[in-house]
Amino acid sequence: MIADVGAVIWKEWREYLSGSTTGGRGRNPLVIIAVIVIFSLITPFQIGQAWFTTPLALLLSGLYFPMILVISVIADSFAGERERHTLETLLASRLSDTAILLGKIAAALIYGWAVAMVATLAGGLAANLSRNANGFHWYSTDFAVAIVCFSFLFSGFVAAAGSLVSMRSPSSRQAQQVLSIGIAVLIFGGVFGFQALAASTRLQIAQALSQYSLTTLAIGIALVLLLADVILTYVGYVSFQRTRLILD
Amino acid sequence: MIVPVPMSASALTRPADAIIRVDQLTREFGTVRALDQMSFAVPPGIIFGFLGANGAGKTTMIRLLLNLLEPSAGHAQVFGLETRQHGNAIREQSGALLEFSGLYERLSAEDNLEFYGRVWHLSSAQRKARIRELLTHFDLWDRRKERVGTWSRGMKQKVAIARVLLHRPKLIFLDEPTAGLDPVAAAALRGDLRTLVQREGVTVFLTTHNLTEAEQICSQVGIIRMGKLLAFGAPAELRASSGGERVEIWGTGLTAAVRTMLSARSDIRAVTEQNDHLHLELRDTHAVAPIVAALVQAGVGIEEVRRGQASLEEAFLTLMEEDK
Repeated sequence: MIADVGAVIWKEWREYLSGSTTGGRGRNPLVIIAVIVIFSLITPFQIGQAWFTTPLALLLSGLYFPMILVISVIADSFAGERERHTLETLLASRLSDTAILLGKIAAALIYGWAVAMVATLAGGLAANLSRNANGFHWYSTDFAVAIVCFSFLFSGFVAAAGSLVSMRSPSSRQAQQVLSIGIAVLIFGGVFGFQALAASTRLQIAQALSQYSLTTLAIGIALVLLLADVILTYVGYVSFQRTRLILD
Repeated sequence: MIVPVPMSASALTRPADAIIRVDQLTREFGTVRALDQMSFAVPPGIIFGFLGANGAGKTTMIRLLLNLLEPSAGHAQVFGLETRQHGNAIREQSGALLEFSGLYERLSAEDNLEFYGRVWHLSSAQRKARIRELLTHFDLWDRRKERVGTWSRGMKQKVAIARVLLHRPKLIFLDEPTAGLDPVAAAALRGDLRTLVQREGVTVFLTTHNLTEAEQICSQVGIIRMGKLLAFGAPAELRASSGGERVEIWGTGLTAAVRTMLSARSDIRAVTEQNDHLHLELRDTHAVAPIVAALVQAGVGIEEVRRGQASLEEAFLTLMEEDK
């Protein structure tokens, strides 16, 4: 099973790194990586060493980068293969349903997570190179662990959700649109939903949360994300039907 | 009048060692019945041709045998395993070239084969050696690093066939394998398939509407139309069952009166004029000499006489016509 998952990951990465010059994926993963690395340098360079304590670092490396990166590849995972007529041959191979699904999710997860980590390291170096830098600073252990964990779990969340969407989408482009809109609705819906609550309710929530330390809250959020990853992967496994994938 | 080979379910599923056995297999897509109570058995170690027009149900049959689709009714067994329950085990021992080449166009030929080598758990050394062997055989070794997306359809088809053969499967499904290949490459592939069957005992399940090809390489064929099996047997049996022997006669003086005289004979079923010669369909297997003697007596200057049987294509077309 591990060898099978590994084979799928190998193929997916080979395809990511081959870029997109003749249709297929809507965006070239190599271009996206370049844009993200550049973007990850500019902001820390401007902020300077305050970068190591700002929540922006966590938001960019833990949420935004994984989201953009994973969406750019996972949407194509099933829908793109179906469009390019490679899916049926893959399904006619000896690979099990689990190996194909896990391989595709893992490939996107590792891709999103690895590039987010590179962007985090690049950001740390850029912050130290800013004009107002004073000695060499780096992320605190807690902060670094939070970035590593959240980028991993959020990459997994988008990959698992994306594979589900891609399985049901007639085209890679449509899968990408549905996924982008879905994630945006989830994030902004949460923010605006909170804003829409009565002031007293918001205060109550804030008071309830303030009883916990930041570490406890971070662990709680991480556990929720982990649970979501597991549930979405399981739903993907249950939904994976060779016959439907071919006929859809 | 064509007489299809007997096709009772018991007769067709008789071979005890059949590698593929299909029993009353039916598949419906909504109101459309793509396969209709089909029963037959394919013995191991042969090239079996599944012949039919576009949309007849050939691809659906391959999908059902590989458990990529579930039957609406009936059963299918491959390697003695029920397709519904043992899809993974069946796919593990098979290789398939389906409707499309299934190649990753942004990857090189070598990477496409490397991936499927990994899928079939070939060791690194085995993959290297087998990829080299196959790409060299198909004359593509020097271009192995090129993306296959830039290649012609025929070249892609060669890589796809190499992918099917990579892990030396016991059973190979080929859906229109020579489509897109030039005549030389198509002939070479037919030779390869024959060699594979003779030397390694591989069974090939081949769908095609190229009847000349089927006639050349298939030991047995099944002819289908709109999901129904019309005939099943060796090509020679099907040709024979399509109505006796034929004689073609070239010469001078093949007038309308001569044609009328021939039509009146009891040993001739039909006389047609084709371009510069006469085409006679004999009733059963009769000697040609009395016909030639009668023509000479009628003043015909005979230049050439050819005797033969209906081709598989003619048998196929007759079947199609009769089933309308």
